[in-house]
Amino acid sequence: MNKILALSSPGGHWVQLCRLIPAFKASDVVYACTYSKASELSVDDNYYVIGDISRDSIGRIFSVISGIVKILKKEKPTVIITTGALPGLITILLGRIYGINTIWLDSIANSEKISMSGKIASYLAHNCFTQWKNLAGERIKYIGRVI
Amino acid sequence: MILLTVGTQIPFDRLITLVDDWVSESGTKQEVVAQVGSSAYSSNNMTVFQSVEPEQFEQYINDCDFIISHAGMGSILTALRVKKPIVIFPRKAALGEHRNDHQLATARSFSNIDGVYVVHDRDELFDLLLNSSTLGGGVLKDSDDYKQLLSNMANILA
Repeated sequence: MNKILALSSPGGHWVQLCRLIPAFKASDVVYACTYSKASELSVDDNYYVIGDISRDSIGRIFSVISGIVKILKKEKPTVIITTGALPGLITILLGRIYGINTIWLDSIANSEKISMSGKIASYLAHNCFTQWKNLAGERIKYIGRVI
Repeated sequence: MILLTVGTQIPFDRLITLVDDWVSESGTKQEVVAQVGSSAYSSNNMTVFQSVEPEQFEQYINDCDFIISHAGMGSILTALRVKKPIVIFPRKAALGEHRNDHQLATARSFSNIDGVYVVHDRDELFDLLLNSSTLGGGVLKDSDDYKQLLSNMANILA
């Protein structure tokens, strides 16, 4: 059975990641976000807190990386799925280093162009998806959307 | 109760100030709860929080009559899920309110969705708030595109 690490930044990224939960039901899932408690999940769900980081707070990058590495080593996921943003991109990069299958779903907020993180992820992730048909291309495919 | 929310990453005092001004000018009796993010904004007109944990936020979302928000996807999707009207006011990169103008793009993409009301300035916001009793909520449908996403994602994960 696949073991999924589903990870994202808070806010819209996390709300969109939670919309994917029904697709995870045949898999073992570990979740990670920055909230101290994730009210969308049930008490039985396996949830980790990660540090928040964006381009404006890049100084925390090493502690965020070490937190994610700990999760990867302990849980040994076979698939990483993320809806962004920067912590998701870091996890995709770490996933490649650890030989884990990686999936990036770009936020539906990016309706007119792919996010900066998404563009980088399109070179790094095994699968990279947009939620807007008009933005699909060679490396970034459309497979549906969260609404 | 009106819930005002602007996310947690970057302040958006332009919107908070406008809503605060509207409360003063209109003399509304409605309570306003404002989640202002990394801002030192304080007000006698509103109950102000920097950030709230998801559980508390869920409570406010359920209790409010409608939401006023930056054009963030978390707010929009949450509003649709609980079928509450949401007034969105996009941030502008030129004013230092975000790193880029994706909120303007979000506002354009969601302007024709039921339950989502897009405003860009003081006049549009005040006009809408004057008639807030007419605002109706939307709905988060299990669209064909959403079903397609779930089945494609489940196949990739199988």
